[in-house]
Amino acid sequence: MRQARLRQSAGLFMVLMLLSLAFLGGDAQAQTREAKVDRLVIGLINPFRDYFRAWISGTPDHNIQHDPILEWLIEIDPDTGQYVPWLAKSWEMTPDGRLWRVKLQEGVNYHQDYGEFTAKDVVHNHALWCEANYPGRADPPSSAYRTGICTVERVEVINDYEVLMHCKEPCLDFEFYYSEAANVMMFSKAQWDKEGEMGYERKPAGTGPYEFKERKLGQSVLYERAPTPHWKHGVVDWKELMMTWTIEESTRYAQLLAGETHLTEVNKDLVDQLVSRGYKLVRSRGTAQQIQIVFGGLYFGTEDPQTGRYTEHGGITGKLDPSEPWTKKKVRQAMNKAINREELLEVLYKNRADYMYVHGYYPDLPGWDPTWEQRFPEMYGYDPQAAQRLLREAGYPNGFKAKAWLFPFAGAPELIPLVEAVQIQLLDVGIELRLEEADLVSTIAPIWRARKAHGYLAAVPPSKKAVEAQIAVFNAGKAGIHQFETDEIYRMWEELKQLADPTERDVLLRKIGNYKFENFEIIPLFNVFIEVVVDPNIVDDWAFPGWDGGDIGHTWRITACKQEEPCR
Amino acid sequence: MQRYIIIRLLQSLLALWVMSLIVFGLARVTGDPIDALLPIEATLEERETIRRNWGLDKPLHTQYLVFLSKAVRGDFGNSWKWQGHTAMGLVLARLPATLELAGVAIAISIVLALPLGVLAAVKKDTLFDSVGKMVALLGQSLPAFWLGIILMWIFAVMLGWLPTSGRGGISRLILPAVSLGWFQVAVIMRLVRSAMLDVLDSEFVKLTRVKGLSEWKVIWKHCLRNAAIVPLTYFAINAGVLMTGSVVIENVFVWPGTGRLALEAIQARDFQVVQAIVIIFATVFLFANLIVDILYAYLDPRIRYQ
Repeated sequence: MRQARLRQSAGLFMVLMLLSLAFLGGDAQAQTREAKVDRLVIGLINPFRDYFRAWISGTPDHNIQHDPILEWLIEIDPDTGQYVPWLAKSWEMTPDGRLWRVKLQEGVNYHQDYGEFTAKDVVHNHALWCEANYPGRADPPSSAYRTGICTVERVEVINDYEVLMHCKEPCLDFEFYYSEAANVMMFSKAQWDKEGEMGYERKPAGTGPYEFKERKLGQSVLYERAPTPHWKHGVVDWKELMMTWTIEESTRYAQLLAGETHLTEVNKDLVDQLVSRGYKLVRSRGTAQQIQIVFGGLYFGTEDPQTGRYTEHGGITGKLDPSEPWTKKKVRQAMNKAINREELLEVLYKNRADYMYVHGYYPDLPGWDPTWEQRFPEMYGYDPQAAQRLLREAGYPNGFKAKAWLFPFAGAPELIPLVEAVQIQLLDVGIELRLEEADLVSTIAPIWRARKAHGYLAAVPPSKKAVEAQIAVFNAGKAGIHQFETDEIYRMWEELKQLADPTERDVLLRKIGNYKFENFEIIPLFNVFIEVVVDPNIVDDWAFPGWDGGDIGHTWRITACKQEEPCR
Repeated sequence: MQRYIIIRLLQSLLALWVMSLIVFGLARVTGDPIDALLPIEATLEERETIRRNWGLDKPLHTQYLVFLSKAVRGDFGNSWKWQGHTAMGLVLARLPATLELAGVAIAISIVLALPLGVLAAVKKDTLFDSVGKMVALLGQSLPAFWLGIILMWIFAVMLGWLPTSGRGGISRLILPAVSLGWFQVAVIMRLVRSAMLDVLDSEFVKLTRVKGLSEWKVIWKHCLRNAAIVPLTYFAINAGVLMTGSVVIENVFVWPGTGRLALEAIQARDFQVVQAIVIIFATVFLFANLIVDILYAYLDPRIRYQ
């Protein structure tokens, strides 16, 4: 009897063991350790600039081609959006804000046996962007953010792994200008010396997890996994990575469905269609762009009393036309309160965006004021009756007529329907908008630049950048838009540039932000994310912050789906 | 005949010069290339530096003379968008792809349209003629880009028989060539049909039949040769249409030809490349016309004496 029970127990044990092994074996079979394809193909819209020398007319939008192979001093963490070490191991500012001590990562080697990354490479790259007559460089540098980048006027070498970056004035945004959000990537000095400038175009040597393999101009760029594990990211999932350029959206859509690409960018309607077919939506971890409507003609700066002339670099323009209704603050508030943001968010942005409050300000950057969110509904919230009351108080009881530009903007396809929707919403409070189709480059930009945009509204999607850079570009007359200029904002911006204490700077930035917020400088709408669609059989995830170069980056963070089932 | 060719050549050169004026002027009225190429953050100083560097600060007539003097030597300057490449080099590198696509589209249109047109005329008012007219109607009314997308959807996405886009191998050529050539099939077929109908009614055809020539010889040798003048003239226009029509098709199918290059260059206000493309397109167009004029004179001797 006991023996029979023992036999029964032993038999049961054996069965359980076999079942467990079968289960574990099955599970092990379901796990494939390698990516299912050797080559990951990313279907992108266009190359923006189809060359590598980013100091020539480069902008961060240009960075995507550099991203797999080259590296920056400072990385933007995809999850937190904060600056984290990359080729710079650490960095420290002196109390006067005019000097940064930067310690470099040791043991990082360039591809193609171009030796170790050291201080000489930092000096070389700074010179490429900032030195007027750098030997061997054919074209003068003209990249975006060059003014900020070249606030660092000299790079002093302490040793191979340490440099001092001397600034002309306090340069508290050093991290931004030398991070991947700007475009000073670290090319190899040794390659420059050996091959000259064009060596960077033929086969640029970087320090990234991929090596450059081949470029077909205007068609694609191919990279291959570096032969040795990357010093920071180890071994990437794909043997090869290819970027293809396809302007036509329906073709990008078809390429993904046909399995020719594994990841692509399409508009929100097509994203929804792809998701309904089993594809996976991946979006940037943080905000990439702000969607806002700019009032043309807010040139409140006074004419330069000394010279009697308008200056291009100050907020002193003398070009205000006070007969424009929205030069009155109450009108700007009324127009803000006439906008039903909830409706726009649902219909146009499929509820996949956040509300924005102040142009150029983000919760993870200095100057943010958490009270804006609470104050927003009362000051800006949808209330047509209040909007009409404000218009009456401003002297426009029957509303007024104005104009708005319609123009296509690559990467922001919702802008045109957005302006059309705003036209209808404003009509409800008596503001009659006439829409004018215009070309951004040939028509609108020159008008903006000349400060002649009186009477025009325009929807624009500025990319995320450091807060001071936003103010410089949009409010202080340094560049083309002249969104909202006053002597006060210009004075605060000048003061800001002299501040070395981060806490004081944070306070002043907040003050400027509040000034913009309380003056209704724009119609703020949404913080939007970059969306891509991936084939879940091939790609598991892609963590990218949304404000690294070109809004997309961190290609080495595209991970493979290594299980039999799709990675939902 | 020699005088006729010389006059045609001189007319072509004059047309080319006028074209150079037009393209130079139009390129400059579409906007400042600095706006397209420099970021909005660029300062006035940076804008002026680039303007000087590219010679855009000089008066327009000086810019034109510099452009013309270099263009006659085949030098259209360096591309602004594709730094490190000459405009001419870019166009020449892309031209074979466009010629390949246009060539296959023309071949498809001739192979299909000639026999269809002839048969539709010979079998006038039959079911075959009605089907032919329907094909012609569809061919002329379907926009090439729409047809391209539909073909891509059916053959690449649904059936998986052909790749969606790109260049390399016959399989990638089929869909763009059919999309590009389909319109031509319709046009040429209609032209051949109507020309054949005229010829079939003529006295000399009746004579050839009375003389006992076979129907095959009457139609395919005597009638077709006489009817060919009209579609032949169309070929000259066709060459231009196929080159410029390729702008749309090349973009839909990501075909790396001059059409796609043209669109990207226009978007970037890359004057140098736009000018090179237009002048080369114009040259091809004029050359094709010249060849057709000569052939026309050969086929119809009355023309050369006019």
